Amino acid sequence: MKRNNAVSLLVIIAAVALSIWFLKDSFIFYSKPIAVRQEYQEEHPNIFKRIFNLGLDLQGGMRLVLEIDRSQLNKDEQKNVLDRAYTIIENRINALGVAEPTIQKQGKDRIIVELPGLKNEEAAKRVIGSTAQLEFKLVREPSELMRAIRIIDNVVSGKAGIDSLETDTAADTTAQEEVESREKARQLFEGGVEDTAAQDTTIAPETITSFRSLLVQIGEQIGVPEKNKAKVDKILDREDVQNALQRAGMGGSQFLWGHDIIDQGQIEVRPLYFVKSRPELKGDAISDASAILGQGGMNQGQPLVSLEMNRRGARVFSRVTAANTNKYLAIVLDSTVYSAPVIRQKITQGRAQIEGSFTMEEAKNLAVVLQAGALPAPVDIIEERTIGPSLGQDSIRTGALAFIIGFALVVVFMGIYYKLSGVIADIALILNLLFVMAVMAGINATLTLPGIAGLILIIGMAVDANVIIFERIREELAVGKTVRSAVNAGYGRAFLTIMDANITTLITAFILLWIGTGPIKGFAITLIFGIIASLFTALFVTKVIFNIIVGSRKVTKLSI
Amino acid sequence: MQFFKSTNFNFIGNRKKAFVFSGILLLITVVSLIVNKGPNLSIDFVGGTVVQLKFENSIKDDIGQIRSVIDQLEYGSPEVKTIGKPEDNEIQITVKATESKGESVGDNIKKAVATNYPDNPFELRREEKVGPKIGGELQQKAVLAILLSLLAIVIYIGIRFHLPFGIAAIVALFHDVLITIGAFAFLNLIPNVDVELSLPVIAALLTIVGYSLNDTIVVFDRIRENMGGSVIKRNLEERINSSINQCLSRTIITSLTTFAVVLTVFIAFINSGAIIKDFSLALLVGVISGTYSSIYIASPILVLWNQKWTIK
Repeated sequence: MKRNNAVSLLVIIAAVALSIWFLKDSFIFYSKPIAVRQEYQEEHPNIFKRIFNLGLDLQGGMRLVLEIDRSQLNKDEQKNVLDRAYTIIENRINALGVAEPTIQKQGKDRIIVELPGLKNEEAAKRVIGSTAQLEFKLVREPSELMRAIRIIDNVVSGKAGIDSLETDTAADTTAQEEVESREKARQLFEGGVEDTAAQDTTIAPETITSFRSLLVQIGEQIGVPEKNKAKVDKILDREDVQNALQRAGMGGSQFLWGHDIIDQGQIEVRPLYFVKSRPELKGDAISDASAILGQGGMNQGQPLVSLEMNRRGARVFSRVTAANTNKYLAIVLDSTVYSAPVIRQKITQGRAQIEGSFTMEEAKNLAVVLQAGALPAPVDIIEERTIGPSLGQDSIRTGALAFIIGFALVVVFMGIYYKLSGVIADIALILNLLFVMAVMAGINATLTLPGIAGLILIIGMAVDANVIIFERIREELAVGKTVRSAVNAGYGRAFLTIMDANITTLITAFILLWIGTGPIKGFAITLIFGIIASLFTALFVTKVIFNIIVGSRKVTKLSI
Repeated sequence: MQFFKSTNFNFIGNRKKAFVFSGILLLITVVSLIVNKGPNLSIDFVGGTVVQLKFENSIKDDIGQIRSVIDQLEYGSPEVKTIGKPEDNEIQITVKATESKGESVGDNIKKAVATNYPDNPFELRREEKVGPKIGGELQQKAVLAILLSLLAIVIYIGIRFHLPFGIAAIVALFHDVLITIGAFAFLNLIPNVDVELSLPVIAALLTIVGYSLNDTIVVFDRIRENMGGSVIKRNLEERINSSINQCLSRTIITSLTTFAVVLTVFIAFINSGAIIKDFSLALLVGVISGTYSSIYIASPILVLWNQKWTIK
């Protein structure tokens, strides 16, 4: 008996020592002021692998769930699309330079990104979520643009049926007529800027009778005053408009917005490009991208992104530029035209530049995205959760306070209600918490706000096993058993009850772990370890202490 | 110290009163749910955007105006409310939309507020966006999780005890989950109180399932022990009643400690915008209901079962 006790005591001491060793780093790290932690972390690069981490809800940060949009992929392209997207997103995040990001694949087409303690969440979102579908698309001839505008105008003014026939024949018009129609269109636009500026901004889309009236001319191209943008979007999205363009043989073309806003006197105008839907060249042709300051000309000192193409890309680019001299080539990123330079001559070296009114940081971010490569398919941010750092700190403070009060309440109550035995249960409770935290540090788990709540709940529930045992011991003592046999009977009879009660709770905790994400997972993990640790402390640790008390001398009375 | 020495309350004899009481609670649940048009689901389940902002200066009188600013963005009917104490200058804006024309609704809301309040800068406390699709998935997952855990439990208890014990436990669990959801719906009918079923609340519901079961099993175990393994046809009612009485001390103490700590969390977070408030509220209701149901629902069902089919 005595030897047994010694061995058991050693086991407990070893467990405590091991726990303290596991928790040492966490204690050192989290006892430092937040400002110093960054520094400490740089000196000890592996620190995060040895401590329990704080969830995004406690330290602030951003969590994104990205979903790959497979709708535009053919069967061949579907292969490995998740793996490729994962690698690219990983590269982009690494280039962002966030400490301790986590990136996980989930299911068939989802990627979860967690960025703790992030400062500039909008830029990060842009870089990560940006599909970076870099495409080079040929800009349609002005005559075709005018025809498209005419068709849309007819649909909008309700003459679609008749005029789509007219425009069909118009498709066969000679070059002579095209020039004429272009001329007519140009005349129509004259003074267009003033016209649109004078227009009432609040008119409802259904009262718009002319598409043309929403546009202004910019050189050979068109633009839209910012205030008309939503209306133009609505018209272009209309199904009948799409169908009319399709019928007129323009299904292979599309309207795309420009990135830069042009200041035209009093109003801000956004260019609208009419381009071939099918790209001449895609982002996979890019081998390198970097942000540079423009040299000479209009771009002097202006940040821009310089692109270098791989061999295949350069070959295609050279062919495309040769075949389309004097046409405009739109550089399209994520369906927005950044620049549309005119092709002056065949370009063989595979170099191109994206111009736009960037800041240097924007240009750098753009280069990061392009360098990491285009995502194999567009990704949507289907879930996004950002917690500001100040809310996280408030949560920790409130959580810690609740924890201390809850803990004190239970400890004091147990001491009063069960006296010495209650103190033994309190020791078990403290060890329980120590073990839970040590395991969490050991497996590098994450403590979340619901996790803290879980810990507090465990405090309340962990004493249950001891309560069951103590009540049994009291019953046994009441029927006149000796202290030793009452203690033994108490533990013996309570054992199965405690196991049954805890195993069922474990079942629900495991289901939580399985379905839950983020903070919920943190709660489930805390709950699971809490239950296991409380089984150990309530059944084993307290028994050993009782054995020592009861066994060492002839005890006739038990403080319970 | 001892609250109860040896009690002999007639719990089982009062089962009809208890059933009526539970019936009334469940009726309130159903009525509240109907009036409330179903449970008040958070954006976790229906999709939408939440933006929580903390202003530098007071915005006490501006809530109506902020609402109209958000209204102009045309994202459906926005919900704007203050959070915490008035001096916190904190508001929360909820809209059902997540994306419009490829632009983030959250960004647009922040922009609109910033433009309208150039002299009152704010700090972003929290921003959440859940797409409608993922919301639907989470809804399914939550229901699945609750049903699965109930199934797993009925199997476990069915094996460890007898099937009737498992079924009685499950009825009690359903009771607790429904009462908690009902309490949320009921509270929502009170002006200026709003609580939502969010993912953490579902976690709380599952924890309630675990807790309530814990409580039920302790009583059941005692009943089994008192049945002595033999075929019991007579006196079951009495034996169940004395089993509950024998466990009463433990039931009350564990419920007290658990209730006390959960109440601490609830009070600590009641003024914060954190979702943990609703989470601990659910636990609070669940602890009470779970304690009550193991005495007044689960155990009487065993008696009812025994009257019909006899538990072996």
